[in-house]
Amino acid sequence: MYLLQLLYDATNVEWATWQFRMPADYASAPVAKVQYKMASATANGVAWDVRLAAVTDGDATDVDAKVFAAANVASGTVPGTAGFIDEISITLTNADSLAAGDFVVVYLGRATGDAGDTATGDAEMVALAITYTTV
Amino acid sequence: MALDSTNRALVGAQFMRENAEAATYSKAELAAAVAAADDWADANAAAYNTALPAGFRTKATTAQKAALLCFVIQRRSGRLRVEEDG
Repeated sequence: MYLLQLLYDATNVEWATWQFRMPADYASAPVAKVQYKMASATANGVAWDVRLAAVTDGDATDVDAKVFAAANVASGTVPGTAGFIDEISITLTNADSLAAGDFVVVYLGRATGDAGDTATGDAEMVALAITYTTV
Repeated sequence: MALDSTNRALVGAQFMRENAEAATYSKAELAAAVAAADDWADANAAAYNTALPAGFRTKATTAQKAALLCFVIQRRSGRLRVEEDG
């Protein structure tokens, strides 16, 4: 296998987090773009759950105790062939007052209990990006 | 005795993890199939027992009879490897 991927179970909620500094040109309208493929499913849907935790320099926030903002969930139909890539856009309505320069932790999980998550087997996440409008 | 709902869910979950073939059925359809297979096993337990030759039927335990059926079905589906397979 020439690439790295994270496998998300169809039953148990599995998740991963990444952290970064929000670029200085961030203005608004964050949207998560999840690129994935399926291990075996060739029909039905998969739902992704993206959460953010954002802390601005100088905030009176204990980062160790902070929790994620509410979930942002969206689903889509999986590709008709296992191994083919699909991308799902998730509008980050609950963005935790995200601002340029913030310390950001992003959570990505598979929303296995969501009504849109009907596909069987692992979802194989290969990339996650956050797009936004710039200043 | 039929599996409870928790164990039926666990069977479905593990099936999904081990399945490598293309799957067009949904999680709900798979769950219904697990329930149907379990119900079928329950409903046909007596017939299976009757089908066994008396020499084995009267001497084997319930667990041994269940294990035997599992071995036969697993071998038929290509999932049971034996020492002789190398």
